[in-house]
Amino acid sequence: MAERDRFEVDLAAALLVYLEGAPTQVRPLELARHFAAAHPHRRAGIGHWGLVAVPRLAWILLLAALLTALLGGALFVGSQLQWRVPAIVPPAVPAFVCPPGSSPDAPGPANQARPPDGGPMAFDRAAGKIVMLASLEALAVESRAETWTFDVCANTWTLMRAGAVPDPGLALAYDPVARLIISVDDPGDPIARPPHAWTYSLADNTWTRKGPAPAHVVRLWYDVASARVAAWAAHADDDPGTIWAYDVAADTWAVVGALEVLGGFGWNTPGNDLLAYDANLDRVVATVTDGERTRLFDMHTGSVVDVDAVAPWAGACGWFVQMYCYDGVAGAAIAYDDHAQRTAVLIGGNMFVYDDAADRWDTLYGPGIVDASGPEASANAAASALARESWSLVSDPVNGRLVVLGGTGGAVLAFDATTREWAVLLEPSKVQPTPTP
Amino acid sequence: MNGQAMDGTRIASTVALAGAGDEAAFAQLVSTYHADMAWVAFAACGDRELAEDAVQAAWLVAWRKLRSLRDPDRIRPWLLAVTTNEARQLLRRRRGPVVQIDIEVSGGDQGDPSTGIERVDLRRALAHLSPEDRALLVMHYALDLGSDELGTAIGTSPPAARMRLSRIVDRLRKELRDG
Repeated sequence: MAERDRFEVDLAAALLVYLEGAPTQVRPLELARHFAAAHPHRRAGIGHWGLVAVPRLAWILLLAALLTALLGGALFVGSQLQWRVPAIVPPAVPAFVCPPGSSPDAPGPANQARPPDGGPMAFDRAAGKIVMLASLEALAVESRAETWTFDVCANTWTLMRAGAVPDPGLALAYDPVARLIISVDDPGDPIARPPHAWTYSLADNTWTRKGPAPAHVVRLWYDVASARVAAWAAHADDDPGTIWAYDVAADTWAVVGALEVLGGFGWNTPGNDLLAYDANLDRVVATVTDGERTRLFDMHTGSVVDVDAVAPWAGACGWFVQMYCYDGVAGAAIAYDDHAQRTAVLIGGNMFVYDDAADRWDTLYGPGIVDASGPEASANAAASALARESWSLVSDPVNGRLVVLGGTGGAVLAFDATTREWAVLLEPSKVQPTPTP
Repeated sequence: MNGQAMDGTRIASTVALAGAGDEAAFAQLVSTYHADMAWVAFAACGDRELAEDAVQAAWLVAWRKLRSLRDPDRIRPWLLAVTTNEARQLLRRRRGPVVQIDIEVSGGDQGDPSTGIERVDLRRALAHLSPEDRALLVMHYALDLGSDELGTAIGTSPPAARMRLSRIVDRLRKELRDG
């Protein structure tokens, strides 16, 4: 196109002003889900087909014959002509579903081998398995981590002998386009030993060490709207909170913006900071623990908005919820529930979800946190016994629920936000964990 | 582009996944291209509500027919073409053959003084164009589509797209400059 003259420049500017009235707001995932539910794709197991090399005249004659027959038939029976969707469609790549005969609701074998300790988890959507980087630090062995997978269709753990494994950081994320698990290692001293990104292919059972990564990565997630992996890094002394975007293919990091969430890292308890990417809202949902506020971060603009929703746990327990409210019975974890399309927080045995329409946190399970020192707190502690110690909360889109690793004893639990019920997927083991030979 | 750009490889894989019914991939396309489509629909319809309906209808078409898209790199002009088509059909169904465009001017609606074209004048001039021509204007002057993509979007060759655009601009030039 030729260079624009003055009028065209003015026209373009005026058009942009005019287009400010356009309805650009949308909830991408909600729209996709609506279409998927209302207009499901066919999943025919029939191969792709195409027109074979037949002379054009033959096609025309064939088409004419067919039209004649069709018209004649329609006139004969007096019915109307109707356009119908062709019966043969190209093959679809189905979303993962449990194989026939699976019992995803039945507890797995209690005596099976299981991770010796907790660690960050992510759900591999292609394989239908949870991947966990289990820490071995507590066992004081040379290796610091093992890779385990949890089959959500059979409720069984499998140790993946994946060769070189990153030092376990605080988070994992799954990139559904690259079909890779993403991790940032935590070698301890970020100056002497700068952290690196790692990718894990479950199909190849291989970890690959990538280039340098930001220090103090606390959360990782996949930003559906922007199709990129993102990270939140924070440290009490160095960084009040920064969001990064990671281009997996190019192995490069870029700052998206600042998101300060006063709380956990201030007490050297990284990983307790409650923020997650909400794919339905297309925002990072964070709770500001000292101010009881909920904060939304826009990944596209880098802007932060404080909304009115009060984090219900903050007022009663402050940041010491784990240590003082519930005698260490329950930890705190956050995840976006793909099925419920809400950000969920498990804390003190309570399950909360953020309702953006009402701008509040709803209690889905448990009596809620009302008073850290009152009798309600004791009652809540009893209720939280089921939830045990939540190392990590991860969404299981295959079965439409949240999965919690129960910490000591290695119990695995599931929470269905629709029924608001817990299920035990794997009872805790009575056997003390030992390093895997 | 309003949304986040994707590179060619990612577009191809995302389009393939979305065409196969992957909700996350489809949501990614919505996030990337929805604003572009809203602009085109708004220009074509001249009405916010109709534009919303047109874009939603366009996404439904995309959901159903994305797998038929042979060249994923053409996803953007393809979506804009679908949007324009849906807008046109919506206008036909709801308002008959006469295309109207909202030229109401609210308080302070004087446009950007730096542009040299008042918003009310622009609206009035746009109202004299067809929905397809308004969409074409937005595709080029607001969304920066080149003649190749414009050709894909309106189903013509790139030179024909350039010529059509040139005629539209000439018409606007007379109307807006010469009054």
